[in-house]
Parts: sequence; structure tokens; C-alpha cells
Amino acid sequence: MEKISMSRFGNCNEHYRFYTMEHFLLNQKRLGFGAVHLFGGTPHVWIDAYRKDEGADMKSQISDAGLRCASFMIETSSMRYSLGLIREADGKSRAYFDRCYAYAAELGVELVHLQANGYCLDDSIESRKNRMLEDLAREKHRAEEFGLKLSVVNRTGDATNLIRSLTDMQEMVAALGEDAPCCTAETAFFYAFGETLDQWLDGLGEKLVQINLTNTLFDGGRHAWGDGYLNMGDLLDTLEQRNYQGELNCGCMVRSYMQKPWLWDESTAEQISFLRG
Amino acid sequence: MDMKLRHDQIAGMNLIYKWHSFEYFLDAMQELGFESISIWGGPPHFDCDWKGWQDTSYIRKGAEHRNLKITGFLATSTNYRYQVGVTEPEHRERAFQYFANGIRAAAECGSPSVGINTGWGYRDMDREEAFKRCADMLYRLCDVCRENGVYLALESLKSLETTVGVTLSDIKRMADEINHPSLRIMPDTGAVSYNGERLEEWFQVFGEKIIALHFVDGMHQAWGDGGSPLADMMQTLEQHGFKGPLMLETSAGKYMTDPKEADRKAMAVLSRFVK
Repeated sequence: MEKISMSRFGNCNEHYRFYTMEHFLLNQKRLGFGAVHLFGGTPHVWIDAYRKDEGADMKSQISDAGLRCASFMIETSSMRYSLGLIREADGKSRAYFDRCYAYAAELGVELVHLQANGYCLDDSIESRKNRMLEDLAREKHRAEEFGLKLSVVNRTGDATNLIRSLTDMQEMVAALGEDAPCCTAETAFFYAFGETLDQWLDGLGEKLVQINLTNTLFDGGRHAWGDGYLNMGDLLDTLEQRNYQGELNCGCMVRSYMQKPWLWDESTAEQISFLRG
Repeated sequence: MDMKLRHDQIAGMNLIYKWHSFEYFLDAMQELGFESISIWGGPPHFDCDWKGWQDTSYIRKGAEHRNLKITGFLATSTNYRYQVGVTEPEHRERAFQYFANGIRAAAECGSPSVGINTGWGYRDMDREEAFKRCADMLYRLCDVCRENGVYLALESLKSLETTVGVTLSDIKRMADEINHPSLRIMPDTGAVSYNGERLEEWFQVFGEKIIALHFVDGMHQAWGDGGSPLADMMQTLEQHGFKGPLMLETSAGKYMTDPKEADRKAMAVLSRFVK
């Protein structure tokens, strides 16, 4: 059974919002992470309905730092643009998502992640779910036009997001069939529905293309390793036993981490090093 | 405790209603007996960017229809894209245009002021440079406020959110640096408490320059949930004869699925101090 090496783990810049991209990259290289899972929000990436940064510039910056860019996460947490708003008349979310895809293509990644949010709670749940399915199927094919593979990540903090659990993910995949996007699992949220990594691997098979390996304090945050209740050793054993070959992203996000984010990355790197040498 | 607020000083805010429609928020305000509201000018309720802003007539008419007075407007900026202290020159002008458009939208809504924070600079870069950038941007925005007949209401942030405008002394220094007739101060009781300060200290320093309050219990919780010394705060407001709006900028995530209940609870707590 092959052990997962440190270089297979990636990290995300989301909790470095108050630091430069250079600062983030230097710390990732120093700590031995092999890949960057780029979060597409400011200050590191500017994309809106009207313009975008050059993805190729970021690609060079990451490779010059000796790192690989493994995936791109579309920023919709501010709800200025979201999946649920794409069909609105002003066309801004449509334009935003297209610019995100163009940026990701320039970045040279294959995988683009999104969360299925922006579905207002005073609409009926049936109506919201039906709209989401149509939106995800359309976006899967739209992303493919840019040479990208779209993947949906489970998130629990935003109730306008309709993919929160393994059951939600499986229902989406079953409903859309070949039109279903891929799936990304965020381990920090498994507790909310009593789920296990084995269940996600069994339930989604090859549809599961990335695992965001994050810890939890049962508070809705995505915690670093060394700051939560999950056992990374158990999760890594499972991944190795199952010969998991997809991406691994240790990107955490808790507001209080943003003051000194590298401390939390050090904690995660230390755990990986302790467990896998 | 003799302090009695006017009922219309307590202003509901739509921030915790952002998982619901704006209409839902307005209906909730009417149902709960609010007489005034402060608009949180963020998505999905209001669309403003560096190119323009949404027609505000639905806000004005929606409020008028429900007899709600608009007493404040917040140009939201703590998450992504726009912030006052932005470093990158190519993003800086877009940030200015965004906030200027927010000011114009606020004026259209009939709000007397526009809430704003100091912004922030990268923590691995020089703080003084960030301070100067923020002061420069805020001065320019004060000019836009003057042109539009509204005040710029500056609030502090928590130390988690910036290194530029955290403490009372930071805001005093910033206000002195800007020194513009359109600048006013808006203490945020969440940030004030988080930073270990007292509302009284803010009134002692700024007095009548305080135009409004972001009025929350502790860490932006609904009144009754945060343990703040409400009676002491009310005494401060009375001693200083404060007549401006108390904007309920409740934002804790636990309220967002049922924001109306949070405001119902807050109104029940605050009604003890209403005439």
C-alpha cells in the first residue's frame, strides 16, 4: 500500500486574505506542500462581471515559486455573483462565471470548483432544487467549452447552498446522470450529517475528484490539523487503503486564522509529517 | 433608568436577511413594528459596483409603502473586491468608483449618511502606507458625500479585520488626518466591545460628531444574546443627548435562517428603553 507523500497535499490561499500572494507561496514552499488550490477572490485574484486578471500571470507566479496549481475555486461566498443568480436578467453572474472559466483555463488547471449557493430561502425548496439542477447541468457543459471539469463542493455555512451532504450530492448525481458535474468532499462538514469518508468514496466512486482534507470543531469552520476533533491518520489510512488518486486540498478557513495564517499551515504540515514522514 | 429612545431611532438592517429576499425583510420590519431601517447595501439585496448601481426606487417605494424611514445606508466592504485601503493601483480606482456609487445610491434613498470602515492593508507590508492610502481614499469619498448632501459615517473594525482602524485612537487619528466637514463617526458597539473600549469613551472624544451607531450585543448578536451592558450604554446615550439612529447590524450566522425572530427578540429587549 503506497503512502501518500507530502508533495501530494495542496493548500489554498483563502485564509491569507490579509497577506500578499507572495507571502502565501513562500510559506507553502517552505512547509513542503506540493500544490496550490487557488481561491478566486480578492485580493489575490480580481474577477467580476466586467474584467479579470490574467490567469497566465498567476500560473507563472505559482510555478516560479516551485509549486503546481491544481484547481481553482470560484468565489461566490460574498453572494455578489452566484450559481443561483446566473439566470437573472442583468447577466452579471453569467458574465462572472464565464470570466472565471476563462481565468482557470489560462491558469492551466483542469478542475474548477463551485458551491451551489444563491438560492433564496423564501422560494420553495422544490423550486430551488429544480433550478439548481438545471443550473449545474448547464454550467458543467459551459465549463467543458473552456476545457475544464466542473466540481461541486459540499458546504454547510450558507443555507442558500443546496449541496450540503453526501445525500444531496448523490441525489444531484442521480438526477443529472451524464450531465452531472464532478464532486468534491469537504471533510470538515461530515459531522453535520454523521458521514464518513468511506461513505463518500463508496457513494460517489469516480465522480469524487477532490477531497478537501479539513478539520472541524463542530462550528461550521474549516479548521487546520491540530485544531479540531478529526483524526487525520484515520482519513489517510482510508485514502491509502482505497488507493485514492484524486487531489488533496488542506485549505482551511476560520476568521481568526487570517491574522497569522502560516501558523495554521505549520500545524497541518506538522501533522502530515508526523503521520507520513 | 430614565433613558427613553424615540421608537424610530431603532433601525432594522437587512444584513441578516441576505438569505431571504428584500421584500421579505421589509415585510418583517413592518410586522415587527419598526419605524425605520438602515440599508445594508450588499448583494443579493442591492447591486452596486464600480460601473454603476441598481435603480433604488424599489428600496424607497418599498420603505414608504410600509411607513419605514430610511436612516442609514452601508457601503458594504468587509468581504471581497472592494475595500478602502486596497494596495494594487489598478484596483484602487475601481474601489473608489464603487464607494462613490454607493454614496450616490444612499443619497437617492434619502439616507442622511453612508457607513464605511477604514479598510485594511496587507499585514506583510507597511502599516503607515496603508493608513495614508485609507485616509486619502476616505477624503476623496467625503468630497463625493458633500456633492451628494450626505455624511460619511466612519466606523472601526475588530483587530481580526484590519490593522488600520481598530481602536478609538486609530479612528481619532484618521478623523484628524481627513479633517473634512462631511466626515462623521459611527461607533460599532461590537467592535468597541471586542477591542475592550467603552461607548462612553467614544462620546467623550467625538461628541456631536457621532451621527449613528451600529448597535449590536457583543459579537454582532441580537440584543439579549451577547451580554453587553445595555443599561450603561443607554445611560451614555442619554448623557450625551444622542438622537441619531441605532442600527441593528446583527450578523451572526446563527440568525440567518430565521432573522425575523432575532429582530423580534432585539425589539423586545430594546422596547424597555423606548418612549
